[in-house]
Amino acid sequence: MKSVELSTLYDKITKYDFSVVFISIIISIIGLFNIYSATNTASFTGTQGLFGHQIIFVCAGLVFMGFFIIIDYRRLGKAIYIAYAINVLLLVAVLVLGRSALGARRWLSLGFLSLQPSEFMKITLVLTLARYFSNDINLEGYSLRDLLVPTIMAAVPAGLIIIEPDLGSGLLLMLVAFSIFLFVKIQWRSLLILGIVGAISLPIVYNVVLKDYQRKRVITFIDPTLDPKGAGYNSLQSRIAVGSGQLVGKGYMKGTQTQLNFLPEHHTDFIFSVLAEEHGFLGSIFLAILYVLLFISGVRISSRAGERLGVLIAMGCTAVIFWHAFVNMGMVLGIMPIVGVTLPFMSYGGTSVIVNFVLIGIIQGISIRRFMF
Amino acid sequence: MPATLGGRDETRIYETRYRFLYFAVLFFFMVMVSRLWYLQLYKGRLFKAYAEKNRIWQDKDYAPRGMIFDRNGKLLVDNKLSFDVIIRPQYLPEDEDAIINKLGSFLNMKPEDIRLKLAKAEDLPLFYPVVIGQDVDRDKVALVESNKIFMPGVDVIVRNKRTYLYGESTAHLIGYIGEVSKPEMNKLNATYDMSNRKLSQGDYIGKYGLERVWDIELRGYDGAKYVIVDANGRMKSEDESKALFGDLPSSRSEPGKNLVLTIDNDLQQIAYKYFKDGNKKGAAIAIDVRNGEVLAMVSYPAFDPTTFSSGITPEMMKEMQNNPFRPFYNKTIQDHYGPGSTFKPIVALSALEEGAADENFKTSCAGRLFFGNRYFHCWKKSGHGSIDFHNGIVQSCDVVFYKLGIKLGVDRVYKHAFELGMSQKTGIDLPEERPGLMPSSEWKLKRMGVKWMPGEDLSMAIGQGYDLITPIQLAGAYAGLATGVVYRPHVLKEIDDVNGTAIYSPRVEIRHKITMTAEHKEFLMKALWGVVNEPGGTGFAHRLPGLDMAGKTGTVQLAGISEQDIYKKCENLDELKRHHGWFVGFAPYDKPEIVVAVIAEHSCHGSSGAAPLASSIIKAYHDKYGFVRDKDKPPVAVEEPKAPATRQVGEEE
Repeated sequence: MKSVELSTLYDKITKYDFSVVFISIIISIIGLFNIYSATNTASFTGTQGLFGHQIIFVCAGLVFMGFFIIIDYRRLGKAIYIAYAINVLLLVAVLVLGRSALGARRWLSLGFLSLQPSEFMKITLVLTLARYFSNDINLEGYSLRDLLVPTIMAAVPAGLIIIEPDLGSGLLLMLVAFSIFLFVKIQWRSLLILGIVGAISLPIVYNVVLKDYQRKRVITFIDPTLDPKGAGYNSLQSRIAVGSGQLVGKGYMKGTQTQLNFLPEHHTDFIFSVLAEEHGFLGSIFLAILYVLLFISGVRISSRAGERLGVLIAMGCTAVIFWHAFVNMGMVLGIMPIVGVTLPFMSYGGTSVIVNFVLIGIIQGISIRRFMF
Repeated sequence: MPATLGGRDETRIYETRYRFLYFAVLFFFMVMVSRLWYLQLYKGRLFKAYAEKNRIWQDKDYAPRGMIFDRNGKLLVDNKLSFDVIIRPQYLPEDEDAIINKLGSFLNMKPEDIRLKLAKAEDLPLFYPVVIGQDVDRDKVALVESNKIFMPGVDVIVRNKRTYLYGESTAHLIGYIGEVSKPEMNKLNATYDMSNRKLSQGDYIGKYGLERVWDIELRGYDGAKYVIVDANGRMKSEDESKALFGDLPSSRSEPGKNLVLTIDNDLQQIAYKYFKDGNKKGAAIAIDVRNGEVLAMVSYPAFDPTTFSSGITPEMMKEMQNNPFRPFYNKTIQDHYGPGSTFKPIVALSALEEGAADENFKTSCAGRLFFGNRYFHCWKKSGHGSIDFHNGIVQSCDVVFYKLGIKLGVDRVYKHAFELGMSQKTGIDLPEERPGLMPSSEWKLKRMGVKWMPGEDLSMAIGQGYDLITPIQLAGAYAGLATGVVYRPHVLKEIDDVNGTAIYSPRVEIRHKITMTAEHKEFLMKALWGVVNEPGGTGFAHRLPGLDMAGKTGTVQLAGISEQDIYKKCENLDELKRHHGWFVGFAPYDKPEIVVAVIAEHSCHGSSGAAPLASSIIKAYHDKYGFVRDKDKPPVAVEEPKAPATRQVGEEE
């Protein structure tokens, strides 16, 4: 009897693939160690308490993840249009009465906690688009006209976020939406038209429609090294930190660039440079491999979901994490512009941690329900 | 029903797309690996050496603030080079005391003060320069420069010092700049969405006047470049840094935009010198009645904006604030006064338009008028005798206007005064303008809870009631009387980019249109011409032969004069209790171009205290630009009218 029980348990474990959960927890643990090093630097910077906060955030994230594993994603899908409307309203509210930090209105203060509706929009948008495309099946590929509604769905919140101004999150949202569009298949002809129209209209808009000061705004967005107030400096220092890590790194809590505080903000957007400096090429590759495994697991869950809504949600959620990681690491390594985008499970910050675990929870929830179809 | 995948076909379609997704993940991995390989393995040794020995620092390229010109291109505000001694806290060694003490001795500063400045900048990134000594003189700069090598972190940077070439004379108009305070910085930065627009500690912003109004345009954009230095602050060769970073990012500063004002500096200086050299207090404003361009705007006493811009001590500030003559106020727009007799033409207009009196109105003045239960006095004790409407204005007879006031009542005057711009801001492009006050019966009931008394019509009619008017409003009202329209006054003519091309100019805008028949206008113009050009007129002493200046004098008794002071001669009172003198004039009376309003505080008389300035501004204007009406006809020699035998100049009350 005992062996039968054991074998059913084994069946269950293999039947239910928990790899996304495991990998995200492993990255979070690495992230915690890394944040401890980044915030307990030799020179006092007032960040010592942040490690404790991050532990709380991760625990909260795990609870949220559990909740979203249990809840049926199809129920989320049903309520999503209402949630979408509320989230857009919150984005408007941020613009009207939001709390300003560093000149950008991103937070909505609810007395006891501060919300960042733009972060939650990433989840909401994926679910909204997934619901839309699972109702409107078109195997031949969507034409531009078919895509009008979903484009508006993505452009409205993205526009609101860009106005905040948070160009990074806004563009990221568009990137995720476009990934989903490509995945559900756009007609070749439409894609071609889109590309040609874009290629022609962009320079015209830039040169003719935009005013001088607006052009300047675009340039500073695209090339923030032109920003004299520090972003360019961060980028250089980040490259020095990464490069000086060499093969094996300078050792845990021994990164000179980090510890001597040459890198402002190193516990949030530039957290990867801390790891790269202290653990070198090998450590960095290890982390990159973990992300690769996470993405592959996410994509695999999508491919096995067996139902259109699940396919699209799992793919979309994975895309959110993927683009975050891509843009953030690219920025740290000096191949992408400095836009404030966090590294999932590594960067300090409550909303970011919780949102990423919710994404994992949703993906996992799809995984365990795949036998229902 | 949820849509399950539609059989084999759909599954197969997705399969190809998943291949793309796996490919994207592979692409991510390849990019990261190759870039990490490049930075950490290929260039790793260079970066390691760099991290140990070298430093990057950021040299800020400060944008020169825009310059300010008068209407003829005369430079009013310039930037001059000055040296600031700074510390980059990041490069201070552990034992910073030695360096701070040394620097303190060079700059004659207490070490505590230096530490205080460093502490203030603590929450800024460590590479931000902290200004320790501002506008340091050359000897000290030389000392610091030659000892820089022993003081890592200390540096000298070149900045622009705002220099107001005409000092006090443009202080209220142009204003001044100052270092941004923390609350200001947070407030302003929250409104900018461009990162290179944002302010950081040590930056300067406009604090007052035009410097504040057009701060963003004037400021321009700061640039920055990154410089690689060794641990002792010596610059590294470019080749070395290129090997690591390629071309270091840098951005050049972009100078601020230039302002061109409507002000004519010659007129401005005439007005300023009049107050300064005559040790007078007050304000003067000259406006082009044809478009609202302000030609001169002076308020005195004033302050030195150059000193203000390089930082003022709290003691200086306190002294200025306690000065009874209010040097901080731009009196042309921020101070209001009773209009005195300058109000009479407005009453005259009301009487004509409302039909309370016509041009042939006549009465007699016995030096006083009994109304209600008391006497109301005329400024001329002996009385004007039998007097017509024209001479009532010319000689500013109070009894004539008492009678008109009784006939009209306050509300019918209010209507016309409001139309001429009283009780409303003029909308000038400067901050903190005051609206003044024109009473009405409704206003009094609401404000004081008491009904308007008939006796108050009398004092209202001679401008001694509740009425309050700013010099710019008075100038506007007379422009309205003279031309039928009041333009929104403005001091900015255009904003130019660095090449001198105008990128903005304000709209010329009509604020008020005056209801007035041509006959009534002609009557009033003749009367106001008479004030200055007819013997017996209160402004006769300051007439400009051939220029046809018209205008009106006025005197305002200050509230709070004690009983025994009332009959004292004004000149014998304490300065702060003396009457204010008004003069408002325009020229030429038949085709007006310029209007000038002057308030001479505590000068006792409008005719002697204020009229000379208005007259010399108008003369200077005519000498410089000529009048349009005279352009087509040859100048006509005008006969000098005879001086009055009976009247002493400056007696008007």
